[in-house]
Amino acid sequence: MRKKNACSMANVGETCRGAGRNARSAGEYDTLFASVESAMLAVLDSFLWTNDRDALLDNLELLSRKLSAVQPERLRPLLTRNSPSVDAALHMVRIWNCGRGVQEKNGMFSPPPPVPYIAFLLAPTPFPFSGDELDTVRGGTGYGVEDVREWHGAEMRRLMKEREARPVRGSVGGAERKGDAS
Amino acid sequence: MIGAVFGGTPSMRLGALLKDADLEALSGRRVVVLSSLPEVPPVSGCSPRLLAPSFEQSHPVDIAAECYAAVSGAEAAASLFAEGCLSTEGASVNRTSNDRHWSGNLRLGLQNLFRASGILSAQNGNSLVRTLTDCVDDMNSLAGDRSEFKSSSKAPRWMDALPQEIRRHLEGIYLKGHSDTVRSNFRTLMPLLEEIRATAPDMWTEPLLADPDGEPLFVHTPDWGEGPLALLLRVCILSARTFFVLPELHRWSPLEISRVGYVFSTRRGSVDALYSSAFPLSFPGFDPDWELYGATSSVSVLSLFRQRLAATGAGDERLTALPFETPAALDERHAILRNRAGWSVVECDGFDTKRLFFPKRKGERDSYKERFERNIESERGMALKKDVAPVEEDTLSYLEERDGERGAVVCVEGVPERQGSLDNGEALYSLEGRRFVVDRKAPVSGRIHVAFLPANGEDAAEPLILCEKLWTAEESAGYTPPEPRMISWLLFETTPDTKIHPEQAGQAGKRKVTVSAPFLGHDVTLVIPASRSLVPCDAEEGEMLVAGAWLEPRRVFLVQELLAVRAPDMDDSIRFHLLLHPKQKKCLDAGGELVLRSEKLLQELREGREFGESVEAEAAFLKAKMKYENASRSLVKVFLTTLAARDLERAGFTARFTDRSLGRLSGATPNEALMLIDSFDFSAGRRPWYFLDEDPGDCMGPVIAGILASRLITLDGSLFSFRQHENDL
Repeated sequence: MRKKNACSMANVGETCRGAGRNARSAGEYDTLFASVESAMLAVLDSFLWTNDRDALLDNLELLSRKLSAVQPERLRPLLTRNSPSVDAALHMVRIWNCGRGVQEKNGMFSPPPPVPYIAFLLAPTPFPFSGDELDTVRGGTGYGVEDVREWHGAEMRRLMKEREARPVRGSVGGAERKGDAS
Repeated sequence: MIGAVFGGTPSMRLGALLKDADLEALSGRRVVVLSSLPEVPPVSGCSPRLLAPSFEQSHPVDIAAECYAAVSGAEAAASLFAEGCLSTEGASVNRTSNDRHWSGNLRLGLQNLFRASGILSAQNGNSLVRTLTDCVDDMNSLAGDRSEFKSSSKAPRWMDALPQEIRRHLEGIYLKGHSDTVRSNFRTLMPLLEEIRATAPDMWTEPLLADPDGEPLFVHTPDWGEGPLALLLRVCILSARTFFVLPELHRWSPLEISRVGYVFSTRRGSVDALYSSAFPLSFPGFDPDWELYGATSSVSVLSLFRQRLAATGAGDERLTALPFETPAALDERHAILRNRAGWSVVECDGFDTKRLFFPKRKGERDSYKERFERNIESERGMALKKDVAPVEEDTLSYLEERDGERGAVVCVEGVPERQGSLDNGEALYSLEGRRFVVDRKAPVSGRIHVAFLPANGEDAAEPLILCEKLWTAEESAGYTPPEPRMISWLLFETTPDTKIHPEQAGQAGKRKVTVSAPFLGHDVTLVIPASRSLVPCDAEEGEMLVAGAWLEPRRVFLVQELLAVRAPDMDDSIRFHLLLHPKQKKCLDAGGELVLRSEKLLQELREGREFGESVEAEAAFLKAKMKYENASRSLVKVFLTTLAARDLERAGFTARFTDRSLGRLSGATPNEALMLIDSFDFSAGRRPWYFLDEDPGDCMGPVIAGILASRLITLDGSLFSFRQHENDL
């Protein structure tokens, strides 16, 4: 039995790009949402090909910056929305408690949990989240805006630390001990 | 005209398809369902006649008789037959061959053999194809009997019944022609005729395809070889007002799509067809003249929809004049139609998939024991001498070799211990219980080494390669080994210009150096872990080996281990380039373009554009994304459906530095083995339908296929043979 496209909306508002909604009712938001979705997919697709995490973080920062320049009123209706395409790509990328990869359970692959990625992109910005939004806007894994803020801070600290060249196991030019390689 | 139904549910697509087919049948046209799936839909409420030789209910077809019925004049029929056999894609003679005389002879010979089958058909009750193939067997047998010194053969008796003109042609080509030419002629003809013979009836069979008033037909394409399928389709196109229906094209194998697509593209303008597919296909011959869009969120369908909108000038991204502006906004009962009249919304009925008919395969009801006994008895019955030993010694040794023991390689890691010196200038070493010899001058130190040794070769043989491990690191700033994990090896060269200290080469955090990779034929960027460098090198210029992971396929390599080659001396080794299979190339190009388009879109944002202002860049990115999805699926499918995946698994590329065999993939030189992977996660490959058989709105499949494909691009292209998976044989 196949289990596909299980983009169930656990805690996220029910909207995917083209998920059967009447487009007229939210045309303006759809256009913005579609553009942000394309940009997010560009970031993730680029990463899945190059595996350059520095570039990924730079690009996410770019999207956050661009989103923070949009009026909060335009963004607020989009905070709870997710996209099946973005969810799928995020399932393979280790950010925001995502990137769990393809896991098998009872002979079926686990579906990617929905991720309110616009809210998560806005998390490290001064976007005025309401208390209710901070509580309720969460992804399928329960990860919320505050969690993303913490993740972002930790990631930035780690990045700075890693960028300082530091020694790893063994000495330069020295031999490794037997069994170290595996 | 070719129409297409995209998106929607399978029920919606089939409903739209069959409704159109019924209307065409009502107007007096013959409906021919082409499918590579063993699911037969009803046409006009009835099951169509099956042309599917692997199924019990199949109706026999004499393709030679069909040619005689398709056109006026025996010569035209012979031309049609020869053209169908010899000019199809894949198993054919290249019609643009420079050797025109040879090609012309081949064609003329086949045409006259075809005529002979018609002329001789009154003398027996055999089918025309059977008569034709019997004639070819006779001629081939005569050609085989000819020696180099014998200028001609005696004509077979059946040629006495042929008119002079045809007899003269056949004698001139097959009996008096140069023996090499005749043999090569038959070597080309026989496989073509074998595939025709495989699906041909023995007994006389009346034509049925060419009847414009005939009942609907169902052609199961995988059952038909290249020539027969091309002929079946051409006869349908030529002689009857045929309307082709092709259900669920996205579930067909690429081979079947391209075979049918080839005929459609070469007969464009004469073909009337309607196909359904969950998403648009990039194969030639299927570019639709009109489309019906069902409800979908598929990126590829929406992208096509936008392209058509732009092309017709009906809007930017939406049909604002219609109640449903995009396919994404549709419900299950409506669809958006684009045809010559413009854009409109139509109602669509679903099709109850329970009404599909699943024919029985021949022998399907037999138990495996019955099949085995019947097959083995049939084979034994063909033995000419019963007392000969069934398997010769040579065969046994060949089988042993095939099992991967003889000629296989093991990878051993440890500190080599010198056992002594030999008279021939070599030194004897022991490594983890295995002995090997290298040149006494080879710099073997007391440090960890990695050796690739013959598994069951002679005692103390030379290693395929012996490397000293210089350093190991686990992490690299800003980079993580990509998942699924795949460890690769890369041999590269340093030159005096190589910046072997990356920290001096660029800004912090970008520890990259560019080196030459002779087996790839271009430079590669190595990402070096913090505090590591390409020293110690024995000299400023030399060959080094790294183990790690490809970050960007064939371009950027994450180094996790640095090794120096100690033996053999590789200066004189032959430099093979890693092969790039066409599907790998396509995927590599599509991936590069996807990144380029992604970067362009992001660059526009970086330069000050706001979301929604980069319409062109966004469209180009989505187009590139679709292209990569198609290319990656295609590559992964080749990998999984040929023996490539199994070859790798058998060869032991599942665990690192163990005694498992590298099998025949070790190849003739150590370098080839080292350029392959030694660790790969195949778990996703166990569920191929998950990423190959896309359902509308499925987003996970393309992502997994894309990631797998990016790994497969780095393998040697020779792995991607076209041999069928054993389960399919």
